[in-house]
Amino acid sequence: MHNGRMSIVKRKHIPLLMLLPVLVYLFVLTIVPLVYVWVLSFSEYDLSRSEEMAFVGLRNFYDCFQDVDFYNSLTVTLIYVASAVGIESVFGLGIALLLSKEFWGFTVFRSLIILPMMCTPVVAGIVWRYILSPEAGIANYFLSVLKIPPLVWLGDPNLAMVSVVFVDIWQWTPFVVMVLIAGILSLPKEPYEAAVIDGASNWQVFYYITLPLLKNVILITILLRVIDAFKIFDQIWVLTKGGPALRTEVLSIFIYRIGLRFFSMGSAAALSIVMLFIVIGLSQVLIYALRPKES
Amino acid sequence: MNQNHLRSSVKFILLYVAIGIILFFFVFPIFWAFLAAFKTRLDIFAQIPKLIFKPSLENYRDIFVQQPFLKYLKNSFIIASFATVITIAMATYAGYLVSRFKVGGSNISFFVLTLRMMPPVVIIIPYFLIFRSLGLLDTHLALVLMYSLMNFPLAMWLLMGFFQEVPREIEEASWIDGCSLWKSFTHVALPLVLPGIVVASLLTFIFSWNEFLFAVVLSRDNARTAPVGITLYIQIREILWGQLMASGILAIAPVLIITMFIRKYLVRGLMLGALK
Repeated sequence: MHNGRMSIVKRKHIPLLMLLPVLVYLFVLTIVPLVYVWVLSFSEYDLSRSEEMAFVGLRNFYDCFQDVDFYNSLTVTLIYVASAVGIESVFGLGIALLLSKEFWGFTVFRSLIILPMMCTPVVAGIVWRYILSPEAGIANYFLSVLKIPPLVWLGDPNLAMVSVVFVDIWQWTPFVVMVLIAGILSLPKEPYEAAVIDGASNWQVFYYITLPLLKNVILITILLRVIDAFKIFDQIWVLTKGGPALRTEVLSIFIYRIGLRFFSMGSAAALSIVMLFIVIGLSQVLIYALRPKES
Repeated sequence: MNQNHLRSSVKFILLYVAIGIILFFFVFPIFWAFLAAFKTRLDIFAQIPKLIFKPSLENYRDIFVQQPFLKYLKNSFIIASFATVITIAMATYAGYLVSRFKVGGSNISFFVLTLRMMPPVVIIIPYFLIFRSLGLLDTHLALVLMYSLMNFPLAMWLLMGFFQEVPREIEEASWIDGCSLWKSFTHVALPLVLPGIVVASLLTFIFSWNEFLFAVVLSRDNARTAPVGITLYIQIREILWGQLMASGILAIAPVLIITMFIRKYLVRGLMLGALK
């Protein structure tokens, strides 16, 4: 340590060297499959027929953009994400405003409401499959009490999408609620005191103070929800497996069907690449929103 | 005055009615599934749903004695535990280095965030083929590797936040006192971020425990985890509701218990530290 310059050099590079094993581990686990999926996407590799892999250039991508089922799953995914996240945001904000007040039992309510989001997604799926079931479900019983004829919630092509979105809302509104309560509680008190003095109505306080102050938190929450809803697989798998008539076949389920049921690895890989690009686009927005703010 | 009083009590009642409806919506389904786990086949298919019935352990006997659900729970536990240990060891180590020495600058944070966004289905095809050719399909190791990769971003991001809260001065003082880098990491920084390590571990455990897609693709009889085991009760011929609910309740019980302990830190963990 007698040489000052040496120690600076050391200080700077030793941590990087120390980090190397972790970086290599992560790099291998992410880059290898990503390179492999690229290679596959340019190949014909149909495990149901043979183990031979043949280079076919862009044909898989061409096929993918010709495929009606691809556009179907893209539309289904967009409708799913937009309606689920949209309703969750509005619903979640309302409940968060209600539960951010302190009243008798509020801590218990705040704890109870996060139960659905912590449920294993598969279990959330089976719980609702049970409730919505035509032969054993309680949902149709509630309808019969209201003199409404029973519905085939998950089997009716026009209703299945509504049902799976409904389950997403049940599971993930609590996430929005939890995050927004934390956001509301961390807001500064002064603007509210000033508003009371000025005699602002509740609605004015919400619209002119709470909403603008909460804007960033709401934005980040929505983006996180969009990215996670986009990946949805488990609940839909358990509820409908993408059916009936592909009405609920989101991208993840579609890729699974092509790759792991039809074993058409090349096409599935090409679809994975397309999905990856969509997500990269989305994540750019999120990273921009999450960047550290200059204070 | 009287009118004000009336108005505020109407408001009060409305508030509790609203909260009652909301809680019913979010909690009743879990409660109803919990009841079904203790119902006989006959009670489950009752024309008028039964709130009061004679509880039976028949479903639990079925899944434990006649089917290997205990093995699936054990697999889940083993896989989630190993994945947690590996993830947290790496994330603590890397989180410390990145937050203390700004190694790699924003590139590493960017890489970590990108990992968080990646849909699992995008890498499931190559991993299926890789594990297949390595003979690792249906092994615990394959799933441990996947979960340590999947949870690393969240754990590291969370721990970086905790490390940043440790004042630099405390550590610098320990360097001046002659602590090596390693010693100041283990004896000064680590004890101070212990709550962070606990929270990150529990979250990693929960997410590994809950994971389904990798498990359903990469495991068969040997390494099958609980979430996949549950779905086996959805059969083509019929759905075994009792067994389905009994196994589902067993799968979520540990998660819900852990959640209650780390509730305070959940927001921070799930929002990547964007909000505390």
